Amino acid sequence: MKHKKRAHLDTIFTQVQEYVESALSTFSHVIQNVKEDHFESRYHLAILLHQTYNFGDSLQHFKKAALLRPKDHTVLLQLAIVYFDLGDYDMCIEHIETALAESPHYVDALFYMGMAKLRNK
Amino acid sequence: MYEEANEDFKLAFKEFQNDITTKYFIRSNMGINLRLIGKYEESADMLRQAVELQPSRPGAYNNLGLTCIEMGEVNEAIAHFEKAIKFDTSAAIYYNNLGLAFFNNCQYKDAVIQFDTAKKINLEKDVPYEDPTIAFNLANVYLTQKKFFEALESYQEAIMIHDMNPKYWHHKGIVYEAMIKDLEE
Repeated sequence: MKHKKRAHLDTIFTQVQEYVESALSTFSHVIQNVKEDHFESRYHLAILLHQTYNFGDSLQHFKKAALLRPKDHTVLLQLAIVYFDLGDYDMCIEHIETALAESPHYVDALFYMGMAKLRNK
Repeated sequence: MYEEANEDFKLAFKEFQNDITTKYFIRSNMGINLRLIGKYEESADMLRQAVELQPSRPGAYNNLGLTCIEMGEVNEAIAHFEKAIKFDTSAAIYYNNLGLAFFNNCQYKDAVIQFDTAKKINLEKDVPYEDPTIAFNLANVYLTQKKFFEALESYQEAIMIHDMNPKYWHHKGIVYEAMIKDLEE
């Protein structure tokens, strides 16, 4: 029974990995070969890279996404969260401040601001 | 530019009042133009006049349907697209638009039937690669229904028709994301 359950989980894990690879290559294809400044694909690629612990690459794509939409508080927060996960709390706070300047009542940003300040002590 | 066109239509509207067909086309085109500049109520009025002038011409019904969609009147839009199809069963675009109306109305099975019909008509006319939006629209329905493999296939079909449209590629990526989420759940 345990073996069956384990085998089932392994199959799901393999499938997830396969779909992650497919999603990454599809979004990469858009910005490499179709439209470099396609914001949505750049953003989704950055999110996926973040979720798969590729923080450095994720950061690069979020930076480019932020250049495409400098006033988008969601992108600014995502960028801040990557800095948070990299342990760079000063940069995290800096980007959250920019996000909050655009959207002062952004609850998620306020939460991460608190977390970053706590860790930065 | 559309505003300028609107002035031209108004002039034509005043000048040509005798011939019914000319009146129909002026009102139809004016209705389309008014939709493009966001004047939906006026667009609908103009297109209704066109429909009354020549009730067996499908074009004005189709355009009235599109205006109704913009106004959020999806059920009325469905009725107009069905009327357009009644008078011309060979225009893929009418089935496509009816499919979009059904999709907006969350009638997914009906939407798939219409998009499939539109594709079939294009195939029969030997112009299958003319319009990637039908495949794209069909894929959107499949994605909403969580029919991921069908969605992938249809997005790929759209990509094969127009491989430099980032929207088609991006949505293909979205399907993989949805598949990941579905497995994680």
